[in-house]
Amino acid sequence: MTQPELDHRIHQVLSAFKLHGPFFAGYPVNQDFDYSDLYPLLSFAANNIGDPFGHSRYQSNTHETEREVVRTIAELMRLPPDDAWGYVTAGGTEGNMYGIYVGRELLRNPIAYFSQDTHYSVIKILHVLNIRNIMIRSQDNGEMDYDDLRESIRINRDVPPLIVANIGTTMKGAVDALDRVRGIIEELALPRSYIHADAALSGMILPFVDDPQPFGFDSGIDSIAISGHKMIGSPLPCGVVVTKREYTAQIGRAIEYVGALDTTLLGSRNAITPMIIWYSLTKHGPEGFREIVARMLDTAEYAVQQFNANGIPAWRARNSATVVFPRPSPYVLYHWQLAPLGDIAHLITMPHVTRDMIDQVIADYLEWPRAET
Amino acid sequence: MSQPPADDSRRIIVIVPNEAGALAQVTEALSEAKINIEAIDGRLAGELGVVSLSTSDDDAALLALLDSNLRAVTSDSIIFRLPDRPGALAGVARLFGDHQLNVRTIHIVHRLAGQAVVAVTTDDDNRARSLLDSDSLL
Repeated sequence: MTQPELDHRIHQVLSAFKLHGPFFAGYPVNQDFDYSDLYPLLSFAANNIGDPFGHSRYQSNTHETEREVVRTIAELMRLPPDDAWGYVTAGGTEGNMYGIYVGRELLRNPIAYFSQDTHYSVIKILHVLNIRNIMIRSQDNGEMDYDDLRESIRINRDVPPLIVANIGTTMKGAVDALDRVRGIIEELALPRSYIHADAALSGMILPFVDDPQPFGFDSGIDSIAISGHKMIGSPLPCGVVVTKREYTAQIGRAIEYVGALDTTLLGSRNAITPMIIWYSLTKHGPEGFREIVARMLDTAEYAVQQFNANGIPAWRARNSATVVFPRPSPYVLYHWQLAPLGDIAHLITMPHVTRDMIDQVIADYLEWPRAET
Repeated sequence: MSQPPADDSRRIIVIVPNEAGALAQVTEALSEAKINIEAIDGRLAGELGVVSLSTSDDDAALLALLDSNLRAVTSDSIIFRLPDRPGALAGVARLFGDHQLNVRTIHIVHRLAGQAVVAVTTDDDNRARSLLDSDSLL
């Protein structure tokens, strides 16, 4: 391929990205970022292979920054940084897989419980990790049905439960009540249990609101996964998983049996994404994120009010930027890249989503009724 | 409805409410996706309709049906009804576990009128069927 042909292909991809960007309202991806300061790093073959808290012979790594990211996220998730272990993952799914894997190793042959509204990747993970699992009913608002959870655990109370809690469901932004989940475990006097929290989006929202639902280690979770490319904003998919340092000693020992003391799931790992997350966390700081979150939730509330004012029943969960409304026509779904599920769809007021965009979505919704498209 | 699918073919099973237009919704979804229906069979199960299909492209059909807001599963699942009450699904998991049956997947497909429709795959589906109340199987 000649240089002009190479340039042409790159230009094509760039044009497509620029075309779709202004109409990106349905997915929890923050497009409001500028990482040009980090571009020089792309000139090197950096690699974060291995445990970021261990020693690596591959010296072009960013383990030190990765440790800083883990400590910062741990603190946000209400775990003392010195008690935390974790790493920067390839995305939310790897974080969930790692958390569930730790739970399986600690509990030995548990039963996993997850709600109907849990992200499909959890089902895939449970299959890959060969963990018995039971789906729990969801309430209409997207939270798990706690009576179903209680009865399901009670029936199988001789097997330790590994509960996957949603801190913001994918479709409705619902937060499973960790205090109620923990209460069920205590009520049934279960000596061993494990709670992994999938906090892909809301893990970086709830620490910055005045009255958050329980979401962190102080509410009884054992591990948590958040996405880096969602709320934090990253051009490359990534995430962070955090668990308790005391658990990793046991996981490390388990892996020694196969001849390698590597506590991460992957071998070669991205060395740039820890820099991206660190850059965003440091540049914005807690006050910056507090302002961003306040703006997002304000836009979400505006969206709910405008949908309702135009006769379209819309709602959102408390402290959620996910606005749920009746499924629109295929044209509106496609044009605004909205995510549908059954009879509903949602938009998410990420930082790049403005009130003007909301007004345009609603105008299109009304102009292109579902039955006529 | 017309010819039922051959027993040895992989089929798609669609759970629909027992109401006017439900079957048309299934056929329209496949027609719009340009998928041929090779065989189709329908029957009633209380408040629900159960439509079994074989098509020219089952994978594409499954996606088209799900995209049209229809609850569809492949026939390599055991599909049965349960009372939609707390712990009902866990009771079935327990039953299978007590009989040394490994459950590979267990999903709620539909909830309607006090009933839950559940799809399960196990390492011995014939034995799993024999453990379930035959009236509950769809």
